[in-house]
Amino acid sequence: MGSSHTKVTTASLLVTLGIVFGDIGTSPLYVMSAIFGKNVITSDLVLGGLSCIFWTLTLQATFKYVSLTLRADNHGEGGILSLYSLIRKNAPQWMIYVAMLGCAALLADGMITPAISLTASVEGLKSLTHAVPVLPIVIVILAGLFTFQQFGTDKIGKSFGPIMLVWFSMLFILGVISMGHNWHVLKAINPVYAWKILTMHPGAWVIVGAVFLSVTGAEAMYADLGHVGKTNIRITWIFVKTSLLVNYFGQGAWALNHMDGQMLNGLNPFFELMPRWFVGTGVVIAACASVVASQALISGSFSLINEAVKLETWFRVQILYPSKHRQQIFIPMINRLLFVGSVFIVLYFQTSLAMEAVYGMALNFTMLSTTLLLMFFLRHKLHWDWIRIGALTLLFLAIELSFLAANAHKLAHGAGFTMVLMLFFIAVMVIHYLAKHVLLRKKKFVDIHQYEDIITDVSSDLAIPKYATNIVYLTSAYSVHRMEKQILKSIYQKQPKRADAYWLLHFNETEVPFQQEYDFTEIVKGKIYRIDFNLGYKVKPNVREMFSNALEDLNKKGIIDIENRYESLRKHNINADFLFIVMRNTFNLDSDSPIREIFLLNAYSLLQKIEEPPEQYLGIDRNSLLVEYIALR
Amino acid sequence: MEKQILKSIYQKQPKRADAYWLLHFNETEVPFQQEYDFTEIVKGKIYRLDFNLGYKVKPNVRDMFNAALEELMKKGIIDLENKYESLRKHKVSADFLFIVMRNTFNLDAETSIREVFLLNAYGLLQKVEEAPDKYLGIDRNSLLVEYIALR
Repeated sequence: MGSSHTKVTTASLLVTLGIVFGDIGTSPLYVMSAIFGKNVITSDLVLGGLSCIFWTLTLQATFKYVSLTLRADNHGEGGILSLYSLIRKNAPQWMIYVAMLGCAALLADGMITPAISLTASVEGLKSLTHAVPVLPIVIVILAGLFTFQQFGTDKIGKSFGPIMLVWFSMLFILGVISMGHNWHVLKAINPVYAWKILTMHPGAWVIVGAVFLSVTGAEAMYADLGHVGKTNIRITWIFVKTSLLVNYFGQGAWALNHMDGQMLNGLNPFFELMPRWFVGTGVVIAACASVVASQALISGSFSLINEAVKLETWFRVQILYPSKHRQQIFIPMINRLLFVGSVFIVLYFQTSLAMEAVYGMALNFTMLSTTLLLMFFLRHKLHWDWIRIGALTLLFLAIELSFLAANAHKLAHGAGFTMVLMLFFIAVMVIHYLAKHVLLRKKKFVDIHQYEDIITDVSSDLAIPKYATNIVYLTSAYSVHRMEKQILKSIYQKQPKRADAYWLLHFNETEVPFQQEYDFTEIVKGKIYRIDFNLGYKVKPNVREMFSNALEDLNKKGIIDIENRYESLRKHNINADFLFIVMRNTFNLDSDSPIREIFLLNAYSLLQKIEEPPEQYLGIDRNSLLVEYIALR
Repeated sequence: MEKQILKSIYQKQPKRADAYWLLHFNETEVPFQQEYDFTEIVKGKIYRLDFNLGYKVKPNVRDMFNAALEELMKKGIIDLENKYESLRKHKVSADFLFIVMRNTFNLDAETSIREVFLLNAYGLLQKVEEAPDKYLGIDRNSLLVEYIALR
């Protein structure tokens, strides 16, 4: 997929603008008002805050994400789980927990992104009149946005680029005009101002927490890499960063000129840059940009969960493809979760100011996770020496841990809410991941070759009634020489299942995001076959389609024969029948099981109740399906 | 035996088997008693096993039935050899399919209010009670649940 996206054209730059920068691009709506907060505005505060923003954007966004992390391009795909997939063979096993933490945190704070940017933009109307029903308007927009997901965003997606172009141009123009009144703000580029405010201001921690909001969208830039490619992102970033900085500095200039020695008292400097006649239009543009940002976040969450399912760190969920593009997916359960979550946040926190106080802490964990994962990427993929990696990692850790210390103050203002959410997501992921491993360990695998004879005998014993012409078992054995003992039992113990041929199907997950290949092994000629599907972690298995395609392919090459064995049906050119047998795990926990396992498996069986059943997830026709149960002890 | 068992065997799709078994659980007053009585109703075709279990013993078909079969086989009373040549060769013993009957109710206008109320409430309880495969300890893969509609 990557190659087609790496081309750079005016159109591709516009698309990039619409997909990648929504999150970081809407930060000017709320960052400056969060920095000023309840402080008295002084030139130290303004210059210090701007200096912090400038250096944070430069070090975190430009350096860490745009120049370094974007190189972790997993066949054109980005995001924390792609990064993990890239390095998992070289990294210690516990890194999966780091990836899970990052993923859970991203989901938790993700719920705030639509809420905060929409609320902040609609609040802009308050500078016209105070009688604006902000919350109802925000909730209506949210409801529309989430309802729309099921139809896919193909059509409106085309307008995202132009909207963001208008948005960033507006940021730039408003910023330049305001800066024209006070060019002194440019002094803030000098890091001495940042140092002064951090060391001398009594509310320094709160200010740092607010500054952090200007880079919360950086992680999203990386997550959306797959849609456009790094070259497009890098080129567009120059324009985006310039517009952002000019706007922040413009807001600073306004504060110096108009508010010196006062407090904000509910004014949002962002909207104060606008002439009064423009505020209405400005709010509409801001709301549109917020919708674009929210859309990016929602699509991002869908693909994050999709990847997590494939990495077995999230339970299987129903995934739909609402548009022609294979890449665009829709996950009803996550959509509902995000909708309920963001409406709750809007109703609970009410104002963007209150949300600012909460936002960012979870994302901070995501950034820390990315830093740790990046370390292994630099070592094993770019082959840097440990000294350089160590120095870089220490730098990023120092920055991000200071932010974390600052963000920890948000706990007092309700960030506990996102922490609880984050812990909940982590719990789901860890339970699912560990339980899968316990279950795999409990399964008993046997050497197929020892049982070739008996299977062949059953297949040719005409006294046994024929169960199906072909029986297909799904196996989790990685080796082509092995299979679950339970499959043997299913074939000849209990009621023996005679078939002309037995098939073993296995799905391997590969690191190439959209890979879709298969390997064919003939275990016993004409009797036992095995097909291994090698699917990229972005490809959802679809047995119906993939298996039929593979069969057709093999049939054409003359390797297998899918002609019907029944004379009557062969005459009418009807292909042979296939019966799929899926094994579902049940557990018989007795008093001997360790407490940890009992707890884990009980929690897992709760997840099993809400997850999509395997046959549906694998896309098997229900009419040719038999579910059997493996009781694991 | 239940009329429904007859129906199950030869009405609807007839179920041919080499042998049919009837299993029954008696609850006894001796807390931990665990015995069985074996009756051959028709030689080689129909057998009955009565498990006499103390009121403290939970029925477990998997263990108890297998143990009884093994004992009967050792005594030479029954023959567990697989009837299929291919499997006999590999010493796989014969297969068993368990059929459990569950009650459903068809309530109509003539049913008394007391009964409608009672059976509806019971229907709710049935939803939360332990599934028969779990309660009886039968392997789910060799279990068939059939429904008796009571009027």
